[in-house]
Amino acid sequence: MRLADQAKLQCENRGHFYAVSANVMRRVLIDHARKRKTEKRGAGVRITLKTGMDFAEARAPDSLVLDDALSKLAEFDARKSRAIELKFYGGMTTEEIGLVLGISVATVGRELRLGQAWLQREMSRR
Amino acid sequence: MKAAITMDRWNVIEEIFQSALERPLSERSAYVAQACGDDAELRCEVDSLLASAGNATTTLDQLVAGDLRAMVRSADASEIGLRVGPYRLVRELDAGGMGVVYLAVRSDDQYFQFVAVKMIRRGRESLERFNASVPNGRFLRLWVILTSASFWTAVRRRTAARSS
Repeated sequence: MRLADQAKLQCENRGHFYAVSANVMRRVLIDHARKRKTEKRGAGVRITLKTGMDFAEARAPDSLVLDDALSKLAEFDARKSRAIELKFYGGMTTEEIGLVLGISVATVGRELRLGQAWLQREMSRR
Repeated sequence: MKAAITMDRWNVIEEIFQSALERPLSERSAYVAQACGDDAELRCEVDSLLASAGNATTTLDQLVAGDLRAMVRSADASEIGLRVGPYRLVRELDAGGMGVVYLAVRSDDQYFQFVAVKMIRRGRESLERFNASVPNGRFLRLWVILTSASFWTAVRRRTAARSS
């Protein structure tokens, strides 16, 4: 019992730190993806052939679309957006997300389920 | 979604979506039809979300993993390059009074794994403390703050072993 309490306390103390770290990881990855996109565009200037591929390459990488979609989701359901951020950018398990957000494992599962489906649909519409 | 969605509407969508997924596949369609009544827009909304639910996890997983790989590939080796145990520090993620957080990668025969590593100044006590041999001796403690689930489990196992 004591061990379980200890583990819980440790997780709570670290919760904020992990949440911040997941967000840092997200921002770093997005900055990098944006940079890659700019470089690609810069290089693309020399190519004048207008094939279907050129248009495909000029489109934003999906990671930027994902970032936009995550922010959009946060506007009307912040908890889902955060749960997804913790999972994919923080590498956290359902149990860990539950501790950080203060919700049950079952609730985390439901939040992820709908949040991810919404993101997937949102991204496919772009 | 055309206009900003109202909370009420979103809650209704969620309720039907979650309830549908709790039912066997064969009953879902009938349930959604019944729950949405003659609200065709609601039904379309729920149906399209259910259709997206199946492979959403894989899509997002691959997206983020692909980003990480691309970032590591393009990282300037001279930028950091420091080896700490099995990890190579790839780039600085954040810095503060307590230390510096790096993105690190373990890439050998057995693993390809990303971790965030926080280097904490000497003397800082922490549960996730490992001895690390750092060449310049400026930082003596390594704190793994964020990582794949498997590493997290290993950290917890160590912690549990110490407490018992």
